[in-house]
Amino acid sequence: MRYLIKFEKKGMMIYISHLDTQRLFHRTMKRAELSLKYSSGFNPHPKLSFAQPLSLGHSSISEYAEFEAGDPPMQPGEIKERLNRLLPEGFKVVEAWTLPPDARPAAAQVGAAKYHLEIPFFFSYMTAIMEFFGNESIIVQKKHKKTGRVEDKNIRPQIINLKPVLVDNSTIMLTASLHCGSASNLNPEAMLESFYRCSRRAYDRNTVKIERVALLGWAKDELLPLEYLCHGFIPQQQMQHP
Amino acid sequence: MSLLTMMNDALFSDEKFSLIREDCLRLLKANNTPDHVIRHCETVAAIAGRVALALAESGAKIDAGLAFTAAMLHDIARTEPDHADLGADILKENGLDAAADIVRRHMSHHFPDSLDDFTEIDAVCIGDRTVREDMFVGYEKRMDDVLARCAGNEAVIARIKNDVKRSKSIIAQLEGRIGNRLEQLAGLPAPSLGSFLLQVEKPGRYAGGEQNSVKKDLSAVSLRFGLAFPDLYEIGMSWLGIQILYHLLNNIEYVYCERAFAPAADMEGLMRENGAPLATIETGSALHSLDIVGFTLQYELSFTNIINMLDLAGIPALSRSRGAGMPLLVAGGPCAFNPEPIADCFDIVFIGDCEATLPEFCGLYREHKSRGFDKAAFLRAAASIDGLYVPAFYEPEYDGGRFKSLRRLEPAAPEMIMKSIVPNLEKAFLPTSPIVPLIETVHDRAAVEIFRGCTRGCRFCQAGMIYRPNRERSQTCIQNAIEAQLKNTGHDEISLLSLSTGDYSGLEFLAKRLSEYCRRENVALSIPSLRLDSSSLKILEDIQSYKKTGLTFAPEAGSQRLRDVINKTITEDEILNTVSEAASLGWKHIKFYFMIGLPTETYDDLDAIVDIARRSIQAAKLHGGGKGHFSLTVSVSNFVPKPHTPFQWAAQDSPDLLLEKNLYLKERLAKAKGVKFQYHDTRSSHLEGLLARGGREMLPAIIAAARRGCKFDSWHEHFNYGLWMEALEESGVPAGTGALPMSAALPWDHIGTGIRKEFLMAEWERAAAGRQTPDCRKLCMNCGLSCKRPDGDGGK
Repeated sequence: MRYLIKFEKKGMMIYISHLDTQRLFHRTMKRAELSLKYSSGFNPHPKLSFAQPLSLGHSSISEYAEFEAGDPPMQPGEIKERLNRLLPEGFKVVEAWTLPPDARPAAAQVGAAKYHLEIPFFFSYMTAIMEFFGNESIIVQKKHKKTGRVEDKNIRPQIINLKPVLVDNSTIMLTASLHCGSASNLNPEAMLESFYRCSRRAYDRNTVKIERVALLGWAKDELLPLEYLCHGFIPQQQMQHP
Repeated sequence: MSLLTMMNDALFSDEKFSLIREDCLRLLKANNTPDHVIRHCETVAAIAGRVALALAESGAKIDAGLAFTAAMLHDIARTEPDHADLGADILKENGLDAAADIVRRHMSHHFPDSLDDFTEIDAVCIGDRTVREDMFVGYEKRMDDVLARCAGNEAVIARIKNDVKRSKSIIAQLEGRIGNRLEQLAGLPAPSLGSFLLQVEKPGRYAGGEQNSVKKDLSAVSLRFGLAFPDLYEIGMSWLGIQILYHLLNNIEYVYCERAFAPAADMEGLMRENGAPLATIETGSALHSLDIVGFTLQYELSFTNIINMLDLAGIPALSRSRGAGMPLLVAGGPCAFNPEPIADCFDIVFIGDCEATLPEFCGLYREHKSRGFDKAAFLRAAASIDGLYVPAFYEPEYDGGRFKSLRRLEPAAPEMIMKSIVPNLEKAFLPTSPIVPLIETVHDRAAVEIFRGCTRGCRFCQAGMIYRPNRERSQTCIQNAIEAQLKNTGHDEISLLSLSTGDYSGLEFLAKRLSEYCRRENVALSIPSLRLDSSSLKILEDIQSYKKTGLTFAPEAGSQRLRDVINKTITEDEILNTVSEAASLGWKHIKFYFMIGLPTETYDDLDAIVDIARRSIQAAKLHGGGKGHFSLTVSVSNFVPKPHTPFQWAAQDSPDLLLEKNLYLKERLAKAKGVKFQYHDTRSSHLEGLLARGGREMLPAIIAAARRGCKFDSWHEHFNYGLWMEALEESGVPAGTGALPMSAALPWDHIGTGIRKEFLMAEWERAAAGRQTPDCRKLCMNCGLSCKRPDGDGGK
């Protein structure tokens, strides 16, 4: 049986890497006796995969992992409860679902992600951000992974939406929807750095909080939360309260 | 001076100053000084008073009451022009002549170059120049204000800028002297390690929150213990001992044991820059705020890390410099069998197995704490517990620079400190829920110690001597522990640990049982420290049937003659037979460990290493069925004579000679096809040798080396031999590692392993004669440890 879980990564747990997160879930699933399935061969690997890596230092309320488990089938609620009993503080499974056998892998469906970026207040923030977002192209220098050459890249097409809100008199929150996934991916930090550079302000990573609030996929021309897509159907209840 | 006592004193001082404060407030009010100015004066006075008091306690001649008074009144006339002069006049009228003088000069005063010339007016000016209105903001921010106010007035700006350097220097000197930062003196909380996590590599090292780490209600515990490992998190967390000690201590209801590790260079930089003290992983508590801090002494090259960690923690390194407010420092581990090089740092050193002594020690501590802790009385009581060594009760005597004897200063302390022994490992504490690190460590696995001790009697091996007698855990006990650990951790590897796992009785049966279990659970079983023989191969064949990784064996010496000298009882035929068998079973890679620089070694013995490597490759080719490529790694380490071994008197080859031997081997092995050669830094072996057999004269050198920046000496990329040699020279410690006369007193003679010195001498003589000594399970050589236990279920 295939299952999909949605979980949070917060608090001190934002300081462990994607790889460490994978190892942690593997261990926790073993402890929870979920009868996780393994690949066959000389070096068996658990059939557990994550939809989209999260950068070190970012928190998230919307991470996804799918896994395959042997019989007997479990109630999703039972999976959630067993994992939450064992996961360290900072990780929390918020929902679990069974997946249809033919559901496309979660990782293959990720198209975009929504982030909340908390940055320190500055005057004329609205103009600065709108100006940045209003650019037709935003060029950043990117080092090519293989050749090592530095190339210009236009990241503007990867920014779907960008909206600032004043939280209090010292904090601005940007809500950013960015391309995400294997086809096209923009790290929110890269966008922030570019924004600060464009508006001639000093960027200090320590003053910025980054949280992923949704992982989305394209259904025709609209973006939907990942669980809707993986399911292959959209439960009525959830339609009303996304 | 200790941070804790100082903080307490600072509070106390504010009380002590309360009468002065009230008088000053009356005077300020009488002169109609506005309230916001009074608030400013009070903050400046608090800082000036604390600075002066801390300095006075560090031995300086300074009148804290005067500094406080002058600071309280320094702006009494601030609303007037020339407020300094006017204020001074008011004070004079009130008979406060000394304070008047300070107030008159406080605007134009220049700090002295040296802290020796620091007086009350400097304390006042430190306060005034770090406080904005009624808030402490620090010198730099405050000066920014002043510069902004003087904008345009180039002459004044130039003068202020000129002063900045000197001011910063005096503040740095002051903070160094009182061992505290102005921020903390002003009552601001010290920054925590948690605030730097976005700026460092592998922040998971410091984040804590691992599965099975322990949380306790701080108000419900009466003894807070800091377990400190003097290396990086991923090294410390791979050590089985930390799991045992951590859970053993936390199982005691009134104890809360937390961990601390050496921070990596990036984190250390941020901590020093921001004045963040070294803190525990669990609660972020500064080490100096705990009751007891315990370091493990796993290897000599971690000693500078201990000094550096204490410095980062704001804890004075020397036991005698630590006052009542400082934690008790304890140590244990294999290097505690010669703790002398670092003994002066510790109040108590645990010798031998700690499982038995720690709970008793904690009980004693709690008892003493409950009736008002008196360190001297506590140490006297602790010295009577077996296996507890109180270095302060002994003093070394030297004869022309040579160690002569250790004089006992305290009649209650034993002449010889005998190690504590857990007689029955079956009943010894075994963790069933080890902490599972969130980040990858060196060994990410569950581990069970299947027996302690070793019966082989290799003459170079310290572990083989200090962990005697041999004590096994039963198969049931091991299996239960493994099942519990896997259930509680979710690990995918389990390791059976011991000094010589092949010697476990019934290993074959145990391995078979466990490998079946592990296969079912999708867990890998690893059995390191096997001997080179066919029964070991059979076991490995069993457990690794699906995956053949490398085999590792340790013949230690190339020639039969030298193996006889070191008592490594394996023949060349056995080695070659095992290699042939391994190759025929499909193993493609073997690693051999050898040692060079062993007593009596000649170049013939080195040639024998080359020879055995060549013949192993030939044998493997012959039996490997010609399929695939077979490779052999020859790893050579440098022999370092260790205390409590038969070779403790041996000369250690100089680093140059060792290097020459390594290069000799390298050149010859390069010609052997399929052989890879690895060797170790000979200079760090030199240092290891000096520290291993050193006495108390070593500590100044260790501290000097740490001050020069030596740390992580066991890390090739951090080791700085040049700095170390400078430190040794500065401290007047000779860097020779020659043979020790057998008649000489040794710095570790007072530490008892239970092995008679005569036994070690006899073994040293047998070595020189090339005579083997049989495994002590076959023939007891009367080493001094009685293996038979009264309850009859004997050591073996």
